[in-house]
Order: sequence, then C-alpha cells, then structure tokens
Amino acid sequence: MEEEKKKRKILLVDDDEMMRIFFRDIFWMHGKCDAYDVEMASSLEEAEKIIEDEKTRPDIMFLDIFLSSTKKKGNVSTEQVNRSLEFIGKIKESKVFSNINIIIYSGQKYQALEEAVMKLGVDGYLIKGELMPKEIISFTDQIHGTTNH
Amino acid sequence: MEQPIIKLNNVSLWYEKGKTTELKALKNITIEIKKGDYVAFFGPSGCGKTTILYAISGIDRFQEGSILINGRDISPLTNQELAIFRQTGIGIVFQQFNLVPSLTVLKNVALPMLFVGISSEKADKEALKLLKRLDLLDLQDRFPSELSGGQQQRVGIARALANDPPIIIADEPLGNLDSINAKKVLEFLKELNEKDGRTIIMVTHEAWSLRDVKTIYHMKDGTITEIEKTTPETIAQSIASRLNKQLSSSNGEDKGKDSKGGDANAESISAHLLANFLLRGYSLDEISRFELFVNERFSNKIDKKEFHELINKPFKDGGVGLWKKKAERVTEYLEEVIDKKHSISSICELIEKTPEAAIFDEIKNVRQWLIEGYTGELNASQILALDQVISDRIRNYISREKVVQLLDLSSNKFGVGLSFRAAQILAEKLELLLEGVPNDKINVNISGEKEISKDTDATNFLKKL
Repeated sequence: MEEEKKKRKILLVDDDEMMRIFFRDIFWMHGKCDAYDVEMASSLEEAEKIIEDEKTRPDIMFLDIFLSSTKKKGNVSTEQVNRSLEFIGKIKESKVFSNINIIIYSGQKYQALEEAVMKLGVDGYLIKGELMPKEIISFTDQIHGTTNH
Repeated sequence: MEQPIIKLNNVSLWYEKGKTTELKALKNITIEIKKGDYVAFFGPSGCGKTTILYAISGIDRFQEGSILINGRDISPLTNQELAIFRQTGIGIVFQQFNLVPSLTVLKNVALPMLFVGISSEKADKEALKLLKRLDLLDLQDRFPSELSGGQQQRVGIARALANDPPIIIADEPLGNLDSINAKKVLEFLKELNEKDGRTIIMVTHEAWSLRDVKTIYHMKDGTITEIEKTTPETIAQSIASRLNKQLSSSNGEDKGKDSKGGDANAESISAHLLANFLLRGYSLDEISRFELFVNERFSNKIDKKEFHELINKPFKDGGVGLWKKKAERVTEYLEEVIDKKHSISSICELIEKTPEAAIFDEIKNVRQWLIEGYTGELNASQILALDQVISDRIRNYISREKVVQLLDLSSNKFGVGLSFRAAQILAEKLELLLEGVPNDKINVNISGEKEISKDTDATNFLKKL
C-alpha cells in the first residue's frame, strides 16, 4: 500500500509583500511544492489565525521579528519587538503549538535579541540579505530532516 | 510521473489584437518540458519562437490557454509577481547581451541579486563565484564597453545565473559571437544542463547550435510542426538528421506526391547543410542563393569554374558576393564534397575537422591585418565602423571609392574618421586582399586563423604614416 508523502507546512510572516512573493517563489521554482506548502501572513494577527486552525497550522514558521507594526520611522520600537517575543513565547509554551519550528528571518541581527529568542526556543536566526535562494531551501530541508525523526 | 517544469496548454498569443495590424504569433501551442531537459525552439525568423520564450517568462501576456510552471498557472500573476518570478526562476541570456553599460562586470552580475533583497556584500561575494566559474575574474572591474563580444556574452551568462535559477532561457545566444566564443557558450550551456541539472530553453535558427539539445520543437508560422527527441550520437549524424527532417518537412508541400524522400533528397540536404555551415553570419538571402548554386553544381548543371564565378559575383548582380579568397576556399570545399559523393556524414566530418570561419571572424581578421602598422589609436566605435566598411566591401555592397570615403568620414557621421591618406592606404590594402595577394603574403585560412607576411607593400606604407 502506497502512502502519500506528507507535505510539510511552512508559514512566512513578513510585512514586505515583495519578500513574501520571493520566499514563496523560491520553493515553487525549485520544485519543492511536493515537499512543502508555503503559506504567508503579513501580520502577527493573521499568523495567529493560521496557527490556530488545525488545517493550516504550520510545521515551520519563518518570522520577521521587526514587522511594520513594530517599526517606527526605521527604528525598532522595543514595545513592538516585545509583542513578537510574546507571540513566540505563547507558541513555545503551548502544548498544541510548541512543535512548530520557529526561525527568525529578519533584516538585522542584534546579539541581545538573538540570545533572547534562542532562550525562548527558536530554531534559528537568519538574516534575509545573507541567504541565497538555495541556502533557504537547504536550511529548511535540514530542519525538516531533523524534526522528522 | 514527475510533473513537467513547464507546461503550455493551448496557448495562443496575438500582438495588437483587434487592430488592423493584428498578428497571431502563437497558435494553440501545447507542449510539456521536463525538468532537466535541454530544449530548442528552432525555425525561421517570424515563426514565433522568441514569442514562446517571452510567454514562458511572463514578458508577453498570452490571451488564450495556460502556462504552468511546476504545476502553477502563471496567467493570474500580477506584474510584480511576474517580475519576481523571473528574477527567482528564470535566467535569460540575450543575443545582444543587454549589460548595464555604467556598471562594472562585477556589479552587472550582482545586480539581479540586489533586486531580490540580497545584501550588497553577499551579492558581490556570490557574483565573484560566478565570475570565477566563467573565467572572468580578471575582468571584474571592467565596463561592458571594454569587453569583446565573447566576454560580454559570458558576463551575460554569469548574470543569468545570479539568483541560481532552475530554468535558463537563451535567445539566439550565439548570434553575435565568433565561432570560438560560440563554441564556448554552447559548452557552457551543456554544462549548466548536465552538471547543474538546469532546464535549458534555447531559441535558434542556426542548425549547428542544436548539437547538445535533447528536444527540438520545430516551429513554423506560430505552430509547432514537429517535436523531435534526439539521442546521443555523433554531432555530425545528429545535425545531418535534423537538417534532413527539417528539409523534408518543408519540401513536403512543394514536392508533391512523388517525393519519397530518401536518396532523392540527399543532394538538397547536403546543399542546405553546406550553405548553413560555410556561410555562417551571412543573411538568409545570401545563404539561400548559395544553396541554389550548390544544388546546380551537385547536379552538374554548372562546372567548378562557373560555380566559383557565381559565388564571387556581387549579390546585386545575381551572385553571392563572396570575396575572392573565400570563394576559392568554398569552391575547393565543395569539390572535395563532390569527390566523396556528397554523403552527409562526410560533409559533417569535414566541417568538424576544418570549420569554415563565420563572417565575424573573417572581418575581425581582415581588420587586424589592415590596421597592423597603423600608429594611430582606434576607439571602439571607430572599430565598429571599420568592421562595417570591411563587411560591406567584402560582400561587394560598396565600391573601393566608397571605402575611402567612409574611412575618411568623421566618426560622428558614422565614418571611421581616419586621415585621407590613411583611408587611401587602408582601402588599397583591402583591395589587395580582395584581389587575392599570393598565399605566401596573406592567408586567411579555413579555420579563421591568419598567417601574414609582414612585408607587404601596404604594411610598409602604413609604417610610414
């Protein structure tokens, strides 16, 4: 009896439309649609809805920690970053959601912030401008591989 | 079964639809291209082959049917989505190179990465890897105008690879290259297909660029007339069989019911093959007239001397306009083929062994010989103008007097801008070449390499300038 290989669900949370299209296209163009379903959200609220619904709940979430609501004239508001941290904390503490792999996928990296998110149990901190399309795929495949067993 | 990387379902595309100038460029095209295939759309100009590339890459919108890339329909995509789809998924290699003139080689290659949000440092780092792969590292700080055509095309390929796309589209990529560089580009495309596993789609009207292709879509009037899967065999055999098919399908309508193909066609296939190889870079009109004379020679309607005269005669007078030395070489070539009973494989072997230089190489060689000893500096636009004059003269489009005029005419009037004396001397030297200076003095040989005696009268003249 042949069982269809289970597709992994990826959720990208990013307020930049171009980045969302680019991210989705990477998996599409490199023929990874058999392995992954890529869903996109532009805000934490939208992401929450997708996570709560069992049918759309992702296995891996890429999250831009500096979403537009957390950006003020190019500066990062601490209060808003805290919202993202709370969001991550909520997922990791929940029995239902804690299996979701969370990858921070942002434009910048700050050491203190990286330490904080790693403590919360995220699986990686990637900087957008430093990864070529294939590197994003191999990173995801790796996460996929390690969490499969 | 793995789904095709590209699938066209009943695609029709009109230009200027609804206007009096309406043109249906693609007519109900249905094809499937598998991942890792090396495909060519092959046919005469105006058959729709470039339009198909534009439709697949989302540059031209088609009005009917659907195009699926990895199972996803691209017709509902917005312009922004299509732009990102091209940046991520498709690398395009253009005939005209299309490099940004104000950017260095390195920045030209890095540019597509910046479009998708890669940082400048990372983009430069990745661009350097690509330049290394294409043997262009030494040229990273040069500007496109400082490069030869072959180098520019290699930069064009590096740029097409910038975002590591799984599909490479090449639109007549050899059109502006000499034979050495054309060969290099073909080898590289093959490597991108075989080593990297990328899907390559090429558009071409030149049979010889099909040598590594695995699937050929023959096109005519906006339709696919035949899909041909090729199997690994010698280049000679495969090209011959492709031309054979091409010719028998186009002759089918004209020849009527008695044509059974086979041996009856062998001569015309040979003529077609020779015309395409010996006259690389010449216009379609020149090539087809040449083919006609080859056929006449094959059927013994004309003899060797008459053939030579016809191909040497100016095009406007009913000839092909090959310059004297070339006409001589080509005549000898043909006689050798006739001796061997013009079998297609023997022609192909001959061509592979001693390839005839494309007209680009000939012009370049003639130019180098002409300016040898000239002490002034020629800039890039003067060289272009000089090449044009040489091309027009060796094809007998212009007279010797016109050559002097054009060489002397200032470069802002599209001349070469030489002094009158230098123009006269260069023109004289060119005439010497066309008249056929004895072989020991100048010999632009069959492979396009030149051996020149430095002591011709003309060079001595130039040294005195």
